[in-house]
Amino acid sequence: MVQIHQPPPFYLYMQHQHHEPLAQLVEHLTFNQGVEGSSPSWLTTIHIEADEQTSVFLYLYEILHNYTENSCSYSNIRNVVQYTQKLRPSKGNAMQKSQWQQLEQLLGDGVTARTITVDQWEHDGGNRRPEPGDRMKLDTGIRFVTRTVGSELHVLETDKELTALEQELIRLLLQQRNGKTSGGATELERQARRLGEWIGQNAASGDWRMEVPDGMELRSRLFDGMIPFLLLREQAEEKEPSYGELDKAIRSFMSEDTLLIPLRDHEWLILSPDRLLAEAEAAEEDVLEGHERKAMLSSLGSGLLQMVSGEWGGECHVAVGDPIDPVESAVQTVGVLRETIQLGRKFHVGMQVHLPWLIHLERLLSGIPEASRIRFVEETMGRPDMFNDLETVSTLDAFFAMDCNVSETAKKLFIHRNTLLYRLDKIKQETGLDVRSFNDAVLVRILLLLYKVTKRK
Amino acid sequence: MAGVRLEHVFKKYPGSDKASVSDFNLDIQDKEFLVLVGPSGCGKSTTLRMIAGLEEISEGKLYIGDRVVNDVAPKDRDIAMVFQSYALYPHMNVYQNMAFGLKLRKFRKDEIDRRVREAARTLEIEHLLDRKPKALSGGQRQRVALGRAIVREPQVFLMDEPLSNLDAKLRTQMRANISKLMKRLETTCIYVTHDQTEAMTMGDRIVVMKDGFIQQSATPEVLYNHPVNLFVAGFIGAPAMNFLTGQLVEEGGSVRFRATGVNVVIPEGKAQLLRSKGYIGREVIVGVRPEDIHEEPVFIEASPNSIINASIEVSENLGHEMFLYLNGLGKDNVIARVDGRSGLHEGQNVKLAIDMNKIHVFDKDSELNVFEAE
Repeated sequence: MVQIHQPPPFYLYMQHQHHEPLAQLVEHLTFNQGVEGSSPSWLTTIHIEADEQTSVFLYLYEILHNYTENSCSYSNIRNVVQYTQKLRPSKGNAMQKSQWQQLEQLLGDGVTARTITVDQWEHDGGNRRPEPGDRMKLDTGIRFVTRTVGSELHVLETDKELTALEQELIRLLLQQRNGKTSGGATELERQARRLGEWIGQNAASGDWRMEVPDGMELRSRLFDGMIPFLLLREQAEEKEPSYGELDKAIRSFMSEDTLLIPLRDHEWLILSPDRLLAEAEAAEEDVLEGHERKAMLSSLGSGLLQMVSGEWGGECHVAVGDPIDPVESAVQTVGVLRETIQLGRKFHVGMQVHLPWLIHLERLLSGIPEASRIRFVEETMGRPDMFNDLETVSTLDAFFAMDCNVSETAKKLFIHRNTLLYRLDKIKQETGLDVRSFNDAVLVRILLLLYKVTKRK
Repeated sequence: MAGVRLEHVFKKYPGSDKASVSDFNLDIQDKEFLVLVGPSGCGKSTTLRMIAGLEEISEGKLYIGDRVVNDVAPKDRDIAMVFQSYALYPHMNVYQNMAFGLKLRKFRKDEIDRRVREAARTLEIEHLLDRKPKALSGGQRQRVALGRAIVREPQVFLMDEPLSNLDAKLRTQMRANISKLMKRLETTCIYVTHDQTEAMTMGDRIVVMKDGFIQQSATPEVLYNHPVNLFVAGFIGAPAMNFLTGQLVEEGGSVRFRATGVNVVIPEGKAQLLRSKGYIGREVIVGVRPEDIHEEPVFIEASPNSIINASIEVSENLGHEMFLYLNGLGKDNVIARVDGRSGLHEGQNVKLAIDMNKIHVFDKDSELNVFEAE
């Protein structure tokens, strides 16, 4: 008797070379057991509620055993099902230890994980362009691809004899773990992942001038005049939307020809046509000036951020750049937007929409060695501890954000103009720097930025 | 509709040794308009963001209705949010902005249309439905942001400083509009503001926060008249309550409060309580609201035991009332709110009287209100 203690609902994926038996099986299950099943197809999805699991398992075993002509053992079905359920929320690329142990348990002893090259895979007789879930026969046993990293393949090998059904189930599990939907990845997702991987590799290697190669399927969908957004979400994996969900929401939000390109865990590049800028104009005949275009790009970034965080929560950051020709500059753009988010988070804690054209000073300052930064702050400012005071920091931040306009700053801070003047006078008295004069304002702004990063370290 | 319950909720950010929100316990009733108020950094927005699902809850449980929603995504919490930076979608017109959330949830077109038009009618923005956000004024944008939330017909509305970007006049107008709207929709609403006027005028109940802790949770009247501690007393009310540090002494059968420029008799009812709690001979902080300092001759004549003399350093005449900044009482300026037609002016020496029945006495160490403590 199988012992299952209040497991959550799960989905079972089955694949069989003959359509008919599984169609009958689904019919049996949906009719006799009251579970939800998809319409019969070559791939069958059954949603079984927790309290139904034990009886469904037994029933499933009996039927499946007959339909597969005794080629599938009960324990393997059970393990595969449980494994499916546990892997389902995980979309990370690295195989977690517990998952590995489960797979080991599932396949028994003799499972090894290795990293090989694509060339070696193909040389050993594997298919071209291997994907997670792909498999090849070895002299003794079988090899599955668990993950692809550029020209490297993470594989697992087992010397155990697996039935065709078991092999298919494992393939589906591995595809799922890599973020695939029940029907496997869509062609678009697969192509987007491939492009994302290529962009990621080149951005990381520092070769930012690389053009998207002709062989990249999505190249034909890239055109001059696409707005690049870099979306970074930090959240527990189980709460992450799937590629399909996110893609659908983003296309619905922006336009149907928007591309969602996964770069690495929790990071996506979004390329959207720049006609969005024209659509944002109040009157069609209006032409956007440079500063208006930047303001509009910022608004689009804020809208995107609000939409994504409003749907899925978690800490989100968005960087947005000027429209580009992604064929020529996707890699460079990703590099710049990554740097923008990194600097934005470092220098402006709490900010979630980051704009490359607003962090020039931060970029410059981040290159100064820490010892020099500390020395500069100490030498230039008599009392750096003034920046320990939250009120002083928020006052200065608001003052600089409002272009040193006293009235606007007071309004932003919800304080009386005289209160603001009193605070600014106090800073002048204690530091000798009057932020209402241009030169001192520049100096205090630099000191404040340097102090923030120095203190945070 | 549903209530919201927070049980022992904590929020701690990685790398920080101090919790931003500590042991937060609150039961918000169905259809209640609850206001979270407090100074910058007190944890009010963080609390709201946890309820919204935008921030993870480090510890504790959050219920919406009977359901624990700690691990539920924002989209599945049946809530709608309106923020200060309402971030309308710039490339969509007003109709599309309001419809987008429903479209994403695959509502039928006719249902989306019904909801959008109904919300637009409620907010009086029907004539703006075809406009892009760029062509709207601040107040109109704010109403669209509200409309975007209303069409969701959520169980709970969450609003974070939704009026802060508006000018004073519009803010007053929108304040009334939101209050009316929420009463009409009969939906639970949690509203965050730094503005105590908003809090006092809109909330069925107000929660005052400081340093991540709830200081007091009560109706506006109770908060104003019975603050539990010095912080709440000073935070609620504009101009703020005056605080005078001095000593309580027993003299001639009555209890007197003595501070710089002040020597007044405590009413017997309050005096008895102070005696029983052992405050005679000790330093305390006495709180006096500006409107409890009177300049009317009738009141002064009737209050010989609470007369104070001071000079007016600054006077601000608002027409219907006047604020007097008084010198010579305690360490800081004391503010009195008097009749705008009183004819008092700067530099004048005045005789005033404190309504001693309205004073508050705070323990100097614990800062708790002696009269409100158990």
